[in-house]
Amino acid sequence: MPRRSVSLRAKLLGIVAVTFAIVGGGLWLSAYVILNDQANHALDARIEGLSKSLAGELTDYVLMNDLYTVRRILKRAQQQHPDLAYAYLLSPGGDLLTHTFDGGFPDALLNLGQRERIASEAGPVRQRQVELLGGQAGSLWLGVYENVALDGVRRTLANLALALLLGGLAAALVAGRMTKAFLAPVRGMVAAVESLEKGRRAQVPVPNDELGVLGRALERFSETARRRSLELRTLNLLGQRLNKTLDPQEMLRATLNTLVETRWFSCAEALSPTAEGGSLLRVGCKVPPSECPALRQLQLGRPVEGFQTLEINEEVVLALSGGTASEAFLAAVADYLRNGLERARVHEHIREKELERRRLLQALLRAQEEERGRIAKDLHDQVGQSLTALRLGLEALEPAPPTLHALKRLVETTLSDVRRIGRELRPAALDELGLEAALRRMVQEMAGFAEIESDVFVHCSRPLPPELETVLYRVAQEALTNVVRHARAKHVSVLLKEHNRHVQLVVEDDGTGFDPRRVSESSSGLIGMRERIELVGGELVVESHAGEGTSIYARVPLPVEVRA
Amino acid sequence: MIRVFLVDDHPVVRAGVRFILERSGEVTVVGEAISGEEALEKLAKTATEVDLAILDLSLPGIDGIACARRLKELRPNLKLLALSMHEEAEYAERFLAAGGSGYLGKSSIEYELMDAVKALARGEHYVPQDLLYAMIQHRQEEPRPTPEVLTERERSVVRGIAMGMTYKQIAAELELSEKTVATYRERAASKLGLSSRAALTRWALEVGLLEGD
Repeated sequence: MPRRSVSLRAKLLGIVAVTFAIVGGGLWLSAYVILNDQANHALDARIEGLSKSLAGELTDYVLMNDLYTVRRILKRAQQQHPDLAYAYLLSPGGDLLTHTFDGGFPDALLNLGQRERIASEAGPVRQRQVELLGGQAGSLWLGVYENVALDGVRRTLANLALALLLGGLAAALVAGRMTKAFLAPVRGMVAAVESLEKGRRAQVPVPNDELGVLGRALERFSETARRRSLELRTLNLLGQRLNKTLDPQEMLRATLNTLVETRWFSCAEALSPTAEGGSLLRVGCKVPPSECPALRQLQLGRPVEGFQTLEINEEVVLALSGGTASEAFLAAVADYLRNGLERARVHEHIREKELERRRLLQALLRAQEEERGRIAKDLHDQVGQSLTALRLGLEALEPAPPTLHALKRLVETTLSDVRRIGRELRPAALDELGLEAALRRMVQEMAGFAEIESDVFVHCSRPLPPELETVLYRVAQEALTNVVRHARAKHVSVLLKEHNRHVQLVVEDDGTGFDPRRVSESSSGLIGMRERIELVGGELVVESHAGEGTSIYARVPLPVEVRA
Repeated sequence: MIRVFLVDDHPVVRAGVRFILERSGEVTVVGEAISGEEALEKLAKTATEVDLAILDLSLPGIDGIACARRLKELRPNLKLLALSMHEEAEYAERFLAAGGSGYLGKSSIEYELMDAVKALARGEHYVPQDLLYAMIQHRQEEPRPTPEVLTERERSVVRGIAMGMTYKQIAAELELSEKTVATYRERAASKLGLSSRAALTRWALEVGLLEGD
């Protein structure tokens, strides 16, 4: 369970109140004791004096037994001294001789005897007995009201209490004010810490006392926290910027910009000990590069002074001026940049490899196409012509041998085989008539051979680049081959369409289909199609479900400028 | 007598053709050339009357089609017959467009050559039956249904198909399942009497379904 919290101010006020109560109470109590004591002594002395003077005055009249005068004297004394409550005279035998009571002597008094204090309606009465002539003439008894003597004391004590109370209130008021003033810096510090917590900059109060030490410590802490927070924010920003790019130059620029924008430095430079001129990039620097002191020192091979330098790698050194930053922070910056540059280097390496692979593949495919074209042309032009000539020669044979007809049939079959093989290698139509004619011919031939119905629709507003035509032709050919071999389709449809700066080829059949996840791309020739399409920056999508036919979509971007 | 000029780079082919022509007794070969350039040169130099030139389309130097065009400029009355290894309808179309009057694949020389020569000599054109069929096949005008026969959904599906979208893309765009897209496609196809993507696309373009893209 949390302890009930009591504010510091309440505690301080509590201390003041308790201290005041103890001091005030003690003061009042000792005043009470002293004053009471003095009052008692004064009262006793008064009674003593009064009784002695009365006794002196009365003795003669008592001896003369003039009780009347005695009474008169006593009455008179009562008038003169209002605090004299009563007086009475006893004979040596103890008989009541006279008294000052108007309404008759209260017998109870006799029974009370020597008791000194008697409670009465008008307050406590102190009683004294004086022997007249050593008791031979009787004894005089006086009762004196204490109140009259003690009232002064009581008034004094009451006044004192009032004074103490007022003083206490004034002290509480002052103490309240003072604690408030005293606690103000504490409040300021709390507010400062709270705003630091929220990441804002805060003014820490520094009073000239012990709290000031705390304030100064807090101020130092706040400054450290602010720097740390700024460091983290800077690194965060830097990380984000570095992640956005893979260009080393761009990374350098991002780092310099970040360091200057976040005001760590007013001038940041990326220098290279190896580069010509030595300066790679500069941000926020006023001095022209040729006069840059850091660069000159670097070129002279001296340690760079007046700058914070940051060695990233063998080729790049950052020279920073117009500000300072902690070593740890700069090391982190260097790490970030170094990692970024390394990432860029690896990426570049991979990209180059991929480009190289593509170039090789492209060269390979091109060489293959050329070779095929050459063989097809040779087959067509040389072998085909020769076979034609052979057939015509057979026709001219005189006299015709009996095997002539069979020979002519053989030559015809061979000729048609040669032409088919040539077309399959690379149709002359593709180069001479364009993709549409070649596609039509190929689809007709392949589908016709497999007794599949076919439909070709081509809609292009302009001729495609020859390389693209070859790619699309080969993809269609591969797709058709799959249809003929595996699909058991009734119908195949080929769509070639230009749309929105792209050319799309769709080969669709109504055959058995397959589950694309279960058939490996290499076995279905898909990998070859995909490779070809991706080489020209396009994408290949295969859609197929078992029993629902197959659609192969190739989408290739058209070059912006297509020459006819 | 029909006077014929032969252009072919292959001597045995020339000899064979000459043999077939001359054995009919109706044709006389008045000259030969092994390239388009030589043919143009020879025909430009002599004033010999020639009724018909028989050209190979794959010639060294200028090709058969260019040669035909220039021969036609040189001698507008000269009839041109192509003798080609290529049996695609497009080649025939091109040759006829260049001024030729007949086209013959080399595989049917011995059967049709004389028919072709005679037809051209009569001032007619000659193209073998199968090529002719291929040439007119994709020009046939079919009565096409209007887009109104389809529901809006079916039209959208056909439109996607004609745009070359995958069924998955169509389904995503129309917020339908792929099965439903397939069903719409089936219905549209049977209403239009067109089953293939190619045919649906042709129809969509003809009726203007893709306009506005």
